[in-house]
Amino acid sequence: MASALRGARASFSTPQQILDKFWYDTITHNEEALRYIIDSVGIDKVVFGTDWPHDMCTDCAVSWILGFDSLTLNEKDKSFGRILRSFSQFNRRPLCPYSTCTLT
Amino acid sequence: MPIFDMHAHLTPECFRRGVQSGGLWNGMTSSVGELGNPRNSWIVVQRMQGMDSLGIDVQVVSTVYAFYRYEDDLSTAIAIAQDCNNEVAQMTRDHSTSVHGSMQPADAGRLGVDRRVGARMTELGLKGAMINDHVNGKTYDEPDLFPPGRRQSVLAL
Repeated sequence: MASALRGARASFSTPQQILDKFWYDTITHNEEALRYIIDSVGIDKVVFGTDWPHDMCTDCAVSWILGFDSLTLNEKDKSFGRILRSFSQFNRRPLCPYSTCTLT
Repeated sequence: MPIFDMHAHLTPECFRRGVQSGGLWNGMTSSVGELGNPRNSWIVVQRMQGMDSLGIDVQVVSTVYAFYRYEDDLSTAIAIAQDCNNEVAQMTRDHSTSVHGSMQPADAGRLGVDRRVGARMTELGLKGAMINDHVNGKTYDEPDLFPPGRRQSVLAL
């Protein structure tokens, strides 16, 4: 019986194990919320996302995140691109002049 | 620091053309597809300019959720998925340095995400598959959504 219970229990995941199976994007609308996600699941599970073309009420999500004091440079770098760098070669695009985005 | 936007969408041009002047596209009208948002009618060049203005190097694109038509009959859902997937794939081929794409299975409820979806995804040159977070109002923890035996009932897209 005890063995069966151990086996059954082993088949379940803890909430943290389930959370770790997901990826999360940065659309949090709030610096503290993004910090909380990073602290909860780790920066390796957080990727930059905009939900473009939908209006997420953030004129320029790149500069918005770059302006967060609570994120380290390493965390910003990882969220912006580490995950997909192996996908292909790509041309470098000019970065927007943060805070002066023209797309609204 | 190159910047990848992992969460971006597309309203397919094939849909926009089809519903022009009150037409139908696979049974869909202009009331769906979120055409009220002008960015959903942008051509690819405009999308690239928009990415430049935002400082984004690469978008990972999937169709907007309106095109996940699990509630439609299967033949219609497959036709929609094929057209959407082909358009996303073509965009990734034409702009491979700026756009990556996700495919949409025609019917997440019956297909699941399985080896055939993966094979089709690879064939199209897409990087992942996207499913809606519910099927006909049911979330994926509903036992009748993925009953044993149905996961293997798979259609090639």
